[in-house]
Parts: sequence; structure tokens; C-alpha cells
Amino acid sequence: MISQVGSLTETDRALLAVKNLVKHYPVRSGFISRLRRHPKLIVHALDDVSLSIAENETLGVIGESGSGKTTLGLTVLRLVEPTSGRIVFNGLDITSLGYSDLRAIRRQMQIVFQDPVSSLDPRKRVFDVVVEPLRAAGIKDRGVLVDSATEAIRAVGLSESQLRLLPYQFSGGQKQRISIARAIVAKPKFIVLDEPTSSLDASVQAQLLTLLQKLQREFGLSYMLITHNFSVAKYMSDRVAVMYLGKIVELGSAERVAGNPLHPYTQLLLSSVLEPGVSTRLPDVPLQEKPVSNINPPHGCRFSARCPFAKDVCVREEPELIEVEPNHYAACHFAGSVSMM
Amino acid sequence: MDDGLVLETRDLSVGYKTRRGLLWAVEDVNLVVRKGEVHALVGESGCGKSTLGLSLSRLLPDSQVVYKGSIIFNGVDLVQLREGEVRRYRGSGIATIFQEPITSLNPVLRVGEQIAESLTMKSLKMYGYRSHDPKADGHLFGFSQGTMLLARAKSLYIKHKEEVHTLLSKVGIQEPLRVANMYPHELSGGMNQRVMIAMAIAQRPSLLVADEPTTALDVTTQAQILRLLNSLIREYGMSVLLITHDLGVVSAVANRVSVMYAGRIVEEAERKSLIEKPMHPYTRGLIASFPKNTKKEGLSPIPGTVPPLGKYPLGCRFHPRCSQVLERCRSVEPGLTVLSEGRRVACHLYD
Repeated sequence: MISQVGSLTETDRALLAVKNLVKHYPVRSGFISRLRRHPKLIVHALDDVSLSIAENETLGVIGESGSGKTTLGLTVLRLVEPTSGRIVFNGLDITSLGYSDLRAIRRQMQIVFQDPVSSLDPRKRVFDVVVEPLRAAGIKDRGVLVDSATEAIRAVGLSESQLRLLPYQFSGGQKQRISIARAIVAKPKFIVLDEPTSSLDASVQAQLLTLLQKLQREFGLSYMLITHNFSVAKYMSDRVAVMYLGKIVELGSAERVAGNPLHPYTQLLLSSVLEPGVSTRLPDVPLQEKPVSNINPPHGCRFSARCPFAKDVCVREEPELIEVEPNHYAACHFAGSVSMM
Repeated sequence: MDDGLVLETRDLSVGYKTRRGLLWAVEDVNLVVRKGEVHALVGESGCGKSTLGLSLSRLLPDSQVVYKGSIIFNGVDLVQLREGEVRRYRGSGIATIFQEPITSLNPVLRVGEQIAESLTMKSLKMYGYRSHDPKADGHLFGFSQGTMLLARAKSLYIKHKEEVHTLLSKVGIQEPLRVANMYPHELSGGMNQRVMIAMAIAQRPSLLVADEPTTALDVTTQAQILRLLNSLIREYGMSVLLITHDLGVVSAVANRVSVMYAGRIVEEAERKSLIEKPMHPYTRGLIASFPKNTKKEGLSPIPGTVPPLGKYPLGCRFHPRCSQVLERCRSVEPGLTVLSEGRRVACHLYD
């Protein structure tokens, strides 16, 4: 449907390309409601998502909680199995790759999770945490492991003497550095960063963002940066994708999306960003009483229930992601002609 | 104490009794909150902001905490009061809301029942409720205390239905009847925070301590909650002590700002002058840590981290992380000096 985004030429030079990716979770229903033949509930975590990430590129994925951004990150690594669609990594279709083949590929794709406390095994020393991707790839040579771990831990700004410590002996920011060391130790090409700085202070966040940029230059990494923070996405990304209830609603260069947001949802998100400044004002965000849910979403535009510009056509027909201006896509019937700002 | 003041702390220090001895998390804090103002308390985690916020209504367990100095609220020094007497000021004088509404709400009570409870905290004695009495035995007429509490909450809700619904609509909930009958897990984070705010304003407090009230929420919800707080301040003439690490939030809602570092206030100013002309290197670092619009313009983060409690360096506590450190900073701790009207800073650069 949205072939423009994943067109062949683009896929060819992309490191990672995702086409029409769908992930549905069935909602488990009780015995009684099944007897009563209640309609089946399905969570549409991802619906028809297509995108690509080039080498050395950072793609920011922005959205509120429940938009499917984390599911997207997990699915492209096949930590979650897609319901349908294709994932192409480095020219190889990994959508239905077997376990052992996948293992070999996984060396090149890593992830850093949001909460450093729960993503580090409290009983493992930092060394064992960091070299885990190498051990998973079958490397047993102690010398290689020590060398790689030392290099990785230095690259993230910690010292090799700290490899002997346990995770509880580190602060939140340092723990996240350890997670990053684990992600880079196997020399991957691609890292999914799932809210890497959300649980941290602004000052520590700034340190880590600077570190991530340095590592990207040094190791030639590609990032998929999942965040709800538009400022962080703008600062880090070459291109950004804005997600709403499992769909990409806007995709384009970070400058264009931030400078000329086409989708009303992007405009809403941008106007809600509070940056330190003398003239910062509180935006007037329309209130929605019922929580928006991606369980059996309605036909038509998913944002229509919250959109101040919604017309009949928005409820009737689902807008496709179309190229509104060069390399800037939006899924809105009135893209570019409405403005909330 | 002049009339415009709601709360004043005088050389307030708060220490935790630990196995390593008494550790002071808050030291010599002189904080003034005026009527109707939003006073923001800013700093990284571990700077003592939450300790200070909680200690204002003495919410920290008395057995583990030591206070020095005084907390003057309505002309009364709360530090000198006994636990039972402080309780009278909670809710009706100083109310507190927390970062994660879902962990502060009772999962087994409906929203309406919890709000009814906070409406009537004063009259709890009537129901024989003795929450912190270790001698209170768990049973009454053969029912467990839990069952009794549930029954009591239900009866309170039935009795105070009208007031509960008014409160819910005050915090912007459009269908108070429906929401009052729901449990916290059925509501979104933003809605739960509204419920918390309804409980906090139930007894019309003169000071609301809001400890990172929007940090766990999406940006769009954050804007809504901050707007709600703003309108309540105007309507009730309430003052707010807003504890946050987000200078964006501060820019949008605060009147005055106190910056805390390692247990001490290092700078205090009007919001506008603090954002425009931050003086303390720490404040400047906090502002510079914020990723600005443009890409790859370069951030200048503050190096290092907040020293842990009890391991503060000699001299200025910020000097190991400071880019403009002087010789004096390593040995002499700078005091908070008044530079101009309403502007205080603790830094040797301005001596």
C-alpha cells in the first residue's frame, strides 16, 4: 500500500528495511464471553508499518505510550515475531530465518533497553554482562573476551577495573553505560535504542546522548531511537517517524518534521514539548475522556477521535502515508493544509 | 512572618539515621513560599528535593529522621509538634501528590471511595480508625480490618457522593459518576493523576507539594495536568511547591525557582531571570543539558554525577564538576548570598 516508502532503490542501500509489518496480539477472553460469542478483541500493536534505515543513519521513532514504538523495535530484531510483513537486514530477509541463522545475524543487531536496573542481571559481574553477546555467538577464548570487554567499557567512559563490580554498585547513568557497552561489544551495525535516557536526569541524559553520537561516528553504527521525547529525537535523528496507535502517521527528515509538521498529531506532540525558555507557554491540549486504545481500532483515521480538524471523510476512510513534499510523508487527508501551531 | 507567606523554612536540615550514622540529605535550607505562587524546586536526583518536599508535612517516618531548624506554616513550627498534631495539617494545610499516581492510589478501592476518604480524614476517629496504632488488633466483630475498611469507604462514598462528584468535575473529569465507580487500574496515568489531585484539594489546602507530578506522563497529558494545576491555583488561591528536574516544566508554570545541589539551595531567582541569566555554574549546566531544536549542534553536559549522601567534597560541593572552579572553591564552602532583590546564589564567582 505504501510502496513509495519502501521502494526498491531505497531498500537496496538500506541497512534495515521493513515492509508492511503487522503485529496483532489477540486479547485473551474468558470462557463465558466466548460462550456468549463476544467479538474477538485484537490489539493492533503494529499495522502496516514500512520504513528503512540506511548505514550510519539514526531514525527516531516518536509516539506516546501505546503507539507501538517499542513493539516495532522488538519486532525488527525478531525478539517479537511479526504477524505478517517482511524484515530485510543487510540485504537478507530475516523474517522467517531459523533460530541458528538468526543467532549469527544477531551479533550485528543489538538493543539498549529503557530501564538499566531491570535489564542488567544483578548477580552477574559487569564483565559477564558485557561479553554476553560474544558468548551467545560462541566465542569462548578468554583473551578475546577480556580484550573486547575492555575496549567496550573504555569506549563508554568507564574503566576496566569496574568490570569486576556488580551492577548495584553503579548509578543509573553508569548502568546505562554498561548496557551500551554490552550493545557495542560484538561490533554490531545496528542498535535499537528503546528510550535509552527516559529514566535519567537531564544532565545524565545529555552525557549519554553525546556518548551515543560519539560511538556512532567511531563504529559506523545505525540507530533506531525509540523515544517519547521530541527534543531528544530532533537532536539525535537524521529522520523521524511519528507513530500513533500502531501506524506511522508522519515520516521525514528531523528538520522538516519539526519545522513543518504535516500531521495534526505531530503538531500536537510538538506543541506539547516544553523547552526551557523565557517565553515558554503551556499549550492547550484538547482533552480526551476515554483512553485511546488500539484494541480493534475504528475504520478511518485512528487519530480522528482526538483531531480538532476531523471531517466525515476522516471517520470513513483511513488515510494512506503519502509523499506530501519530497521525502516527507504524512498519513492525513488534509496533510499540510491544517495547522494547530 | 509577613502576611503573604504560606510556608517558611528556617535553616532546615533533614538527616536520615543510617548504619553509617546520621546523614544530612537537606542542609540549612531557607525556603519561602508565598501565597498563590508556584515555587519550583529543581535539581538532579539525589539532591534532596524529595526529602525536603516530604519533610514539609513530616511525611518521613519520625523514627528514621532527624530535623534541625524550623518549618513555619501558618505561624506554627511543624518541627516542634508531635506526630498526632502534625496530622491535622496534612490534607487541610499541606497536601502532597507524587510522581506515580498508580502506586499512591489504593488498588482495591474505587476512585470515588478514595476521594470520599480524603474528604473526611478529620472525622476518621468516629469510625474507630487508628491507622498507626500497633496495638489496634486486626478484627472487629469478627470481620478483618480490611473488610471493615472497605465497608467504611463504601459508606463514606454514599454519604459524600455529591462532594466527590463536584471534586471530580473540578479536576476536569467530564463523567464524574462513571469515573467514581472505577478502579485505578481501569484509568490512564493522566486520569489517575487527576484523581490524586482531586484527593489533594479535597480539604482546600493552602500549600500543595507536587513531587514530579508529570514525569511519568506523556507530553500531551503533561500539558493538560499542568494546565489543570494552574487553574486550580487561581481558583483556590493555593500555593504549589513543584519538585521537578525538568526545566521545560519550570519555564512553563513556575513563578520562582530554587535550585538544589547536594542537599543545599545553590541559587534562587524569579523564573524569568533564572532562565535568562542563570548564575550558578550548576544551573547553567542544567540548562545546557537540554537538547535544543537543532540537530548536532552539540550538547555541553555537566560531567560526573551528584556525590552520594555523606560523601560530599570539601569546599563547594559542586567544585569537582564545575568548569569555572577557583582555588578557593576547593576549601571554602560558599554561602547563599543575596545579590539583588529576590536573587540568591551560592558561588565564589560572585563574591
